[in-house]
Amino acid sequence: MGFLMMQTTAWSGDIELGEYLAQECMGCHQSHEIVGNVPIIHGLDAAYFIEAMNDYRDGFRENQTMNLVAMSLSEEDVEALAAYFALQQQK
Amino acid sequence: MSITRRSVLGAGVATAAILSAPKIAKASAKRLVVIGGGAAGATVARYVAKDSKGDVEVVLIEANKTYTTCFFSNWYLGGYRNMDDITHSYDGLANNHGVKVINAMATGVNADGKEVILADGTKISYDRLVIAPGIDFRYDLYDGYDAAVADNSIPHAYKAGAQTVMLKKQLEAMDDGGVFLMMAPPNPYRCPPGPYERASMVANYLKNNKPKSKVVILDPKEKHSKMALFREAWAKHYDGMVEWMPGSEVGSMQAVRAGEIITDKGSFKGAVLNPIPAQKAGKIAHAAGIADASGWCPIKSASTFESALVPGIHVLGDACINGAMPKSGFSANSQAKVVALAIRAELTGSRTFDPRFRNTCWSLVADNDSVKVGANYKAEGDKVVKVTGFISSTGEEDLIREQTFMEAEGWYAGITSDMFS
Repeated sequence: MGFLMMQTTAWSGDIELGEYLAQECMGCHQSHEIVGNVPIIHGLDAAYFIEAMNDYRDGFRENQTMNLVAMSLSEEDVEALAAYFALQQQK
Repeated sequence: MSITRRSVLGAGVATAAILSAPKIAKASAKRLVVIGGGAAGATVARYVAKDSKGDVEVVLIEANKTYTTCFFSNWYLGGYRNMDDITHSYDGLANNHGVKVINAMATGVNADGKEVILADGTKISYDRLVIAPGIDFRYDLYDGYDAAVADNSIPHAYKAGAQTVMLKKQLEAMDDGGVFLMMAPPNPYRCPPGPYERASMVANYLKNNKPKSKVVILDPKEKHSKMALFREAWAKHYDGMVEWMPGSEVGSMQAVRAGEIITDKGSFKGAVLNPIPAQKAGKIAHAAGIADASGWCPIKSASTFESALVPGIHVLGDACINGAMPKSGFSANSQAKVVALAIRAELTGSRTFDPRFRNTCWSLVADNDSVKVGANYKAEGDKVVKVTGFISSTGEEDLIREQTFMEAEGWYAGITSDMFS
């Protein structure tokens, strides 16, 4: 897992779309600290991000909030988000 | 006095670079003025300033120097937060994003001349205007209840601040065995689960400190947000302590006296009163002509939240009539990001995307026990429509409720950072 997250996957997602969609994520996820059980998603490896979102969409990961988020995103949306967050730094 | 674009630029904190090249600034800078620094206004100001990178000058007009969030103010009543935890300054907006914050009351709008008028007569010109005034109260409906009574002796505490502190002090001073008597507001109102979360948090405090006391909720409605979840929580955690009475039994509030709430069905007595009035859009919305006879503000497009009544003015957050989204801080923040994108596109030609909205409301019902309701939304003409949603289940495992509680804590930190940092 640690190894996966350190890799930088080159990804073809639409970064601008990702930045727009990521605004929704910022309502809970912060770039600099974990509060409660809301993790930092800035800097996540793109492949890991996509797998996690697919797992939320398909119900393999359970959290009503994230299940709803994942169900509302198209494959293109998820790739865009993955590409955007992979480029962000934790602060 | 009149503030021209140039004089505001001159007073700005982060505009030194623009001033060194005044000709470019005059040619390119567009000005967004935002009235109201709550969940909607702070977010739209922050996002336009952050993402336009100097191409749009953002002026935020807010009467108060700090903002205390209504969301999580019930956590204060329950002893889970102090007031400092839920009070935020505008320094982040000014220092990190160059928002020019003017602490003044906006009293009028000259839409034809594209100017906002402040209480001292100052005029501020704009290219686009956002009015995010939050709520005001329908004191006109009640005998013996007005802003002075609410501020001085019988708080509704439905804008977080001094009244919230007063309410808590009154609870602390109440004798064990006393009745906390709330009148819930009629629809539509800010934060649909708010009154019932408050009842839960008051019960939580009383259970631990004054266990012979009671919480009585008079409700003009027959049903309310998260009803089954609150019923379950009250039975599980506060056995017999919380009593909810529907509108068919209690009617609607007519008058408030010391120790007494009077409805069209009778008189109800309590040691601590918490009458939450019917609501309407904040005052400036009415002065600006963007509110209709309902007291709220119609929009002509759910993609831009532009007023249906006055062109060039966007109205969002609790004050607007949007369709399906509830009046909540989360909704306001979500709407503000869509509107920020629309305003940037209008003023700078930046790229646009299909508007998407989301809301989630967490309610703390007892120690380590939170529930939530949420939905996705999209724009259809002048309405926001719900796409799909969820709600916590009754009978959930304790672990899930605890995780939801922790998630709410994370959300609060995240969303207030997204508004004010």
